[in-house]
Amino acid sequence: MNLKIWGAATLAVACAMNSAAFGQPSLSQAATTAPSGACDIHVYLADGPHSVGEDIDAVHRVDQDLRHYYETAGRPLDWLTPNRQLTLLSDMPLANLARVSEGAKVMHPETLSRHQALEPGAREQSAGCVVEIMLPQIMLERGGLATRSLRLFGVVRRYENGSLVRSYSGFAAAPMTGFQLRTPADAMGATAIVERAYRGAVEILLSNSAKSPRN
Amino acid sequence: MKSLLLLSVSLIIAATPAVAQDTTAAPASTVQAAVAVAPAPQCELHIWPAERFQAMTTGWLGGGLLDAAVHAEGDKARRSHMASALDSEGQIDALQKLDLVTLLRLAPSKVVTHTEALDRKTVNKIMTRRSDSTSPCYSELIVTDVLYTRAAMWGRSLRTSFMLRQFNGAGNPLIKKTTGGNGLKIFPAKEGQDTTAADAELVSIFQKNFTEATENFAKQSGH
Repeated sequence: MNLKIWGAATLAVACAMNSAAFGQPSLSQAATTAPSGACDIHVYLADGPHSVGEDIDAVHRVDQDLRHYYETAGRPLDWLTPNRQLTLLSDMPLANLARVSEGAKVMHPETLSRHQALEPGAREQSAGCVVEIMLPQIMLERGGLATRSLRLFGVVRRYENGSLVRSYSGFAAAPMTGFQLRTPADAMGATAIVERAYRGAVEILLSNSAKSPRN
Repeated sequence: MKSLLLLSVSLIIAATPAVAQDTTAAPASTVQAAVAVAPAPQCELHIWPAERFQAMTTGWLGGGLLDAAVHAEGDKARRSHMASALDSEGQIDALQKLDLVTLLRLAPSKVVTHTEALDRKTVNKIMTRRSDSTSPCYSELIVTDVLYTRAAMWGRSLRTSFMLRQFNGAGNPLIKKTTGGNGLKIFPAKEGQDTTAADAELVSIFQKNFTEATENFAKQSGH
């Protein structure tokens, strides 16, 4: 019995050393070494938010609302820059939300367009389990008679030994309850609401991706 | 004997162009190059995507403010779905997969794409070229509006408006405007569901709308 435990422990140490040798955890923002059967999580971000909206009497151009918000604040608010997305996502339990056991977590600082995210094929060549979470589009949406919300488009793919075993692409929206930006003094509160909605939308998206039956 | 005669005749014919080329003093290598490589088109077709998306659902209330209020949240989501699947890169990509020049019945043209949409308010006002090109043979294709509608009676459809401006010499361009519209069966996906099929349908109907629009352009030209 003791021999079995000793053997299992040796195997676990060997696996951990092996995975370190293949370089995944050496990436700058990798979190922890993958336990056996865990999935490495790779996260790719959007270049920033866009806005899509309309008033009761006019259809707004893409990003028209966003420009208006920044003008009202009197300065660029730099909402959800790639760095800020990294910060907001870094302490989220992404693996739990995607219902996989977490291995290494790699936050890629480079951004992807929707087109790039939908390109077929794994972005990471790796043995074992890899989950790619690509979040290429963030939209602040509103309507003349509708509430404000933040909508994400994301692609979540799971690979086992380089083969695609699960794929989901879709939208998730979270409300921006209480959002208002009428004076520069509102900027801080509005920023907090946008960031909360972003995290909420990521949670919903990952949860949807885990539920989706599509393989 | 006959074949010998034919051979000598064909040799003479084959030699004749070479003599003619010699008289024009063009080097043989240049002539070969001209034959091998087709000249690049002199004309240009510039394309711009739309930046305005509308979604409008009318239920059994028959439209109006109450109907708009009932469907406001859904229309907001559908507008964003369109702006996502048909973002500037998506529209340009969808159009480039079609034989634009043939469909628009233009002279052979080099297609130049612009991913930054034009300000919709200026599209009808500015009569000069929207790019820096000085090409003597120059056309512009502008996607102006993308509209999703759902009517209780007629179902779902996507309408796309296009503008074609042809600059032939100096003066204002020849402007044609039209729309294409076709029904949707899959789009939009339900909230939270995978959107791959719905997005693919949206792009395919966008392309179909363009093909329909080119037929309308041809009718406007009297073809």
